[in-house]
Parts: sequence; C-alpha cells; structure tokens
Amino acid sequence: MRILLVEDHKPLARALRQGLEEEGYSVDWAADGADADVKARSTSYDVIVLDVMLPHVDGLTLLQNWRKDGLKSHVLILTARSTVDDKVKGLDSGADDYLTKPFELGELLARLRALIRREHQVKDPVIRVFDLEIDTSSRMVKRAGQSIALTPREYALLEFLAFHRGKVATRSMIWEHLYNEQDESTSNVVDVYIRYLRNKIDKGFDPPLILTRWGEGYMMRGET
Amino acid sequence: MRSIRLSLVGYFLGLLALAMSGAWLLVYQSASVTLADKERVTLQLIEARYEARRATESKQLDDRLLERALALAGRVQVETDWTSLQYRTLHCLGAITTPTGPMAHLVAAPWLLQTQPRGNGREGFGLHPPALFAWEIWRLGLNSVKLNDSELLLPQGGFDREPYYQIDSNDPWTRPLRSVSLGDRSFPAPGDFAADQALHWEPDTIELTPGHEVRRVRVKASPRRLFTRLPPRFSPPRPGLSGPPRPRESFFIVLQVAADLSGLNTRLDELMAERDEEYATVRAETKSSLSRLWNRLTAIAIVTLTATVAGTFWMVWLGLLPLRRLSDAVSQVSARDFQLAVDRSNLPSELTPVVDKLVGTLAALKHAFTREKQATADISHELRTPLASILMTADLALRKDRSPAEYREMIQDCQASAKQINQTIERLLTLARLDSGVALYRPQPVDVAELAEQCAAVVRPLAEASGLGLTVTHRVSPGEARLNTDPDKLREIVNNLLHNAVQYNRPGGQIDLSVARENGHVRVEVKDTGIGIPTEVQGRIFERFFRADPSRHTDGLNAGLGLAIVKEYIDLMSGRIDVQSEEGNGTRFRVDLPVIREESNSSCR
Repeated sequence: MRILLVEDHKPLARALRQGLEEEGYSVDWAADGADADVKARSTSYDVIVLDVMLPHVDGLTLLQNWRKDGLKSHVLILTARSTVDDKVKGLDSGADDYLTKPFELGELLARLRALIRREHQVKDPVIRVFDLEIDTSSRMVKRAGQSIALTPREYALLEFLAFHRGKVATRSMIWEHLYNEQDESTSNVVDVYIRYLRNKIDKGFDPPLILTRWGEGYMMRGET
Repeated sequence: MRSIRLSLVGYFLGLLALAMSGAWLLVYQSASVTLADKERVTLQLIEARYEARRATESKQLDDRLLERALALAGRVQVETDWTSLQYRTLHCLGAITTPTGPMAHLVAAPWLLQTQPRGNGREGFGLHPPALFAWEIWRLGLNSVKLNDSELLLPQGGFDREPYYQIDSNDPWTRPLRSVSLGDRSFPAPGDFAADQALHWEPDTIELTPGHEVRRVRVKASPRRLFTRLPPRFSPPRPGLSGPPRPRESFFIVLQVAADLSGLNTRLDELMAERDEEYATVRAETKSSLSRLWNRLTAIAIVTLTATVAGTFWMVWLGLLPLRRLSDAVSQVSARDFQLAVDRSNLPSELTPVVDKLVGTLAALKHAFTREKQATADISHELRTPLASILMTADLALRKDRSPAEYREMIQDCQASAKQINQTIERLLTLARLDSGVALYRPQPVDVAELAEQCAAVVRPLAEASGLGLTVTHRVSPGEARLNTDPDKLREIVNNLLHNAVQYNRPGGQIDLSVARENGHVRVEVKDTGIGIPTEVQGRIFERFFRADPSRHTDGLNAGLGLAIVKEYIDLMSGRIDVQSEEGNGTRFRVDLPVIREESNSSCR
C-alpha cells in the first residue's frame, strides 16, 4: 500500500515515515502544500495522510481542490485542531478520517487499515483465499492452519494480491503500490518478491494460489 | 436602574400638569370674576325694577284713593245740591206762607241767620234765642251732609276691599259721616279747616287702630249751601286785588279716604318675593354656571391629561424606537458573526456615532476574536505538533529493538521537538510578562555595532544552510553606536528580525544588517530580498499571532509572536520601528533607538 505523508514538521514526519514503512507501507513524504499537490496528482496513493497547517497552501484548501478535480484517494487528516467545528470542517472538505495530534502510532495504523479495507469494500479484517488466511489487523498469515512468517514487503505484496484476487495485477501496478519514489526501479524486483512469496505460500500446498499470466502479470486465484 | 421612557414620561407629565393647573386656575378665576360682575349688575337691575314697581304700586293706590276722594266729594256736592233744591222749594213755599201765617218768622229765620256775622262759624248756635230753635233744627236738617254708603253708588275702583272714608265738616251741626266699613273706628278729626287752605294733602300712612296701618288721602271740599251769598263767579272784580279773588268759604268738608295697606303690602310682599326669587334664580344660575365651568374644566383637564399620558407614552415609545432597534440588534450580536444587524440609514443622527463606535468596536472585537482563535490554533499546533513528534518517536523506539545509532537519532529528534516546545512556551511567557508589567529592563552600556556582529554570527549558519548571504555593514565609527540599553532585549530584537529575514527569504537571497547613527538615534536596519509583506497587512504585522501568511510558514518557530515581542521591547526602550516592504521584492525593518533615554522610562516597567 502506498501512502503520501504530508507533514511539515520534520521530526514528526521522520518518525511517522519510519513507523509506516516498518509496517510494510511504502511512504512518500511532502513537506509543504505545493509539493503535496504535485505528488498527489501524479501518483495514485491508497491513502494520503494530510496535515492541515501547511506552509504556502492550507491542507483543507488542498483537499477541496483535489476533491473538486476528482482525486479518489482516501484522505486522513492529521491536525492539532481538535474542536468539533474543525473536525466537521475537515470531514466536509472531503476527508475520510480525522486524527488529532498528539496520537499514537497504533491508532493511526488501525485507521489506515480500515481505510484500505474500505477502499477494497471489505469489512472482515481476515481475508480468506482457499485455505489461506490473511489477518490484516495482526498481519498474521496462515496456510492450512500453519503460521507463515513474512517480511513486511512480502506481506504487503500478498495483501495487495489478495485484495485484487481473481484479477490480474500487472507488474507496474504492483510496483506503484508497493514501492515508494525513492526505490530504484528494476524490472525484476517484483518477480523476485513473487518468487519469495510463492516459496512461503504455495510451496507444499495445493492448489497454488499465485498464478502467473504471461505477458500480463500475476493473479491470486479466486475463491472458486 | 431607571427607565428612560418612564423618566421622560414623568418629566413631561409633571410639566404638563403644572401648565394645565395654571391654565385651569386662570380660566376659572377670570370666569368667576366675570360671572360675579354679571350677577351684581343683574341684581342691581332687579332691585331697580322692584323699586320702580313698588313706587308704581304705591302711586296707583294713592291715585285711586284720591280719585275716590274726589268722586266722593263730587257726590257730596251733587247730593247737597239736590237737598238744597228740595229745601229751596220749601223756602219758596215758606216765603209765600209767611205773610199769611203767624209762623212767618219761622220762614224768615234762615235769612236772619244768614245775615248774622258768623265768626268761626260755631258760636252762633248759642247766640240765637230759643225762639229760633225750630229754625236751627230745620237748618241742621238742611245742612247736614246726607250721605250713607248705600247712597254712594260708587264704582269699585280697583280696591280689594271697600276703602274707609270719613267726611268731616266745619259745621258744628254736621255729624262726621263714616263709612260702614270703618265700624266704630274713626279717623282723627282734620283740625282747623279754615286755617288750612290746601285742597288736599299728601297721602300719608296712619294707624287706624294700633297695628292697623292704612293709606290715607285727605281732600277738602266746600259743597254749596242752601243759603249763601252770591257765588264768587257773580261778584264784580275788586279793584286793588290782583289775581282771582279767593272765595270766601265758610263751609268745608274734609274727606278722608283710606285703604287697607294689607293689599298693597301683600302686593309689595309679592313683588319682594318675586325679586327675591329672581335674586335666587340669578344666584343659582351663577352658581350653576360656575359649577358647570368647574366640571367642564375638570373634565377637559382629565381628558387632556389622559390623552396626553397615552400620547406621551406613544411618543416616547416612538422616540425610543430606534434605541430599541439598536438594543435588539446589539442583543443579537453573537460571538460567531459580530454583526450589528441594524440599518444605519434608518437611525436618527443622534445614534449614528454610537452605532459607528459599536460597529467599529465589534469589528475590532471580531478581528481580535478571529486572531485569538487563530492564535489558539497556532499555539496548539505549535505545541501539539512537537509533542506528537516526541510521542511518535518514543512509540516507534519502543516497538522493537533497534541499533544504538537508531536510538540516538530518535532521541535527538525528541530533543529537537522538546526544544521547540520550550521556545514557544518561552515566547508566550515573555509576552505574558510584558503584559503583566514584570518584564525587567536592565540598561547598561552597549555597543550596538558589536552586538549586531554577534547576532549575525549566530544566524549566519542558518542563513547559509538556506542558501542565503548575510552581510553586516557599519556606517559608524567605532564606539559611536554606544548607548545605554538592555543588551538581552536588543539581541532578541535583532535575532528575531534576522530569523524573519531568513525564514521569509527566497533561495539564493541576501540579507543586509546595518548599523548607523542618525540625529540622536542609533539605527539598525535589517533588509532582505524575500517574499515581502503585502501593503494591506503591513500595519498589522506587529499584532500578536498575526501572520502575513495565513497558513503556517516552514519553520513555525515564532507562532506569530516574534514581531509582537520585538515591538513590545522597542516600546520598552523608547525606540521606534518601521517597516518598508514590497510584495515579492523584500522587506526592510528599521529600528531607531535613542542614545539618551528619558529618565522616566529607565525605571522598571
């Protein structure tokens, strides 16, 4: 999942970024409104974490402009303003969620997961594909009752495939959602991670869940 | 609390009541005087008329009495003449018989008597010889006034009751004749007939019997006698006497005619009663007029007063309407909009200054409120963001084991955030101290040029990190920029201005700091090539929490307090600061500090 973090306070942005990345999200950071505007319009983010008080352009103005122009990404507002009026104003500007500073990382992560589930129209935090169980809240993966340990990036790839199961995910899609702007783009990084994942998920289990569509990309087997 | 409306109504009604009672009294007084005059004149008229009628009544009675008396006299004359004619016939018979009979002397006797000197007319009776007695009786019979009531067929003459009369004569043989109505009463005898030549007397009022008053008229008459001398009309004129000769009257009668005064008195009483009645009527009329006037005046006063009370209430209500509209508008002002919902063109000119002032104050309040709200948001942002950063970093550090280098980095982040919080709090406290007047001013000799160099040295690394050039220019000879001031506060001022110059500059920009001496002042200028300040907000940049940029600026260190503190400090130093800026072309702050500070300001604030 790819997230745009818009926060002008550098230490906070640094900590947030690290925390999110350790959870397997790929994070882009924008320190002011203008930068955020450019990034949000050029890349399709799953979630934008947006601070309201920003230099140059106010966060709410930015959000209103995005919504006006049809930007679909989920937006979570992060602000020091905690009055009801401010929350109402924020949500009415087109935000999906609202979190006031100071907050805890756990809460932010839970809200992000909820937003992602909402994006894929899933309510159950546990995704089941045949005998594979992905618990998106605790990030635990089981196949036929056996726990499988995955690195954050492998987990992110599995979750992405699971959310798009039955549908082909191209390499560029996978790239866009799993890597941030600073990662070097190499053609076979996705293939490498797919191989790692297959080794852990499909090896020794039947049927294989990760399918290859030659010339297109990869796909997780549908429920049937 | 007193109501304007009630006070106004009270004053007005008091004044009105005073004026009305004055008018009331005036009208009533003059009306009563006029009415009293009218009454007096009317009473005088009635009195005069009464007197006239009274006189007329008396005169009428007297006239009627006189008329009756004259009528009686005429009657007596006629009767006497008739008797005389009868006896004249007898006399002729006697004259014829005398020569033929022994009793001829009896026939001649009257003639004898007649020729006798009569004196006072009463003595002769005793002088005649008894032989003449028969003659005397005869004479008596002849000369008596033969009258009685039945013979006096006189007209009623307008009397209520038949008047009394009495006829006396100077003839001793003649009995006074009295009317039947007199009964046994009588008028006093008329006295000496001859001496009184008057034919009649003024009517008078006498008492017939004690307590019984009557009006009396007396008339003297001389009826013809049987044997008289030639009547005067046959006498030849006498030489030596002027005027007509007075007839010698030897036989008189005096008629006294009287009428009961009771009729007249009754009449007069009636008249008096009538007069009194008219008096009473006039008085009653006057009284009723007065009371009508009183009632009418009172009614008018009450109606006027009532109408005026209502009118006054209405008028005052009308007059106070704009005030109430204003009051309503003021009561509707809320902390949300600070709008005074009142149409200024509809208000009277007296209220316009109030409204203007109110609108101005509300605008200032709204401005302050908005600024305060913004400031609160700013402060909370300034405090919560670093706090969130500390919490987040700590959270992150505790999530899993990390390398010492990672821990070090995290702790450094925490430290930076804590410092930021501390700085914000410090600034807030500085302003609070300035407000409460406990900020101490500790002057000591300071070389401003030196101090500027120190500040520049502190800020230069920051400026260079942002790609800015920082130069310091001295336009003073060494030691010339010395003055007595608080170095800490001056340093704060210069640092703040330099920080602003760095923050609001453009990449590759330039900052100039210069110190100069200008008519008794030391001038410090900070000039940058940054984004500038819009002209319309230049006057407000020294307000607390004011930001030329409504969203936050990159660093966010000052929370809109930096220039506010600068201004307060400069005021404390009796200095002056002004700003010159053009949007997009940089800003120049100029601080003038007096070399000699006034003593009054050198004490603690």
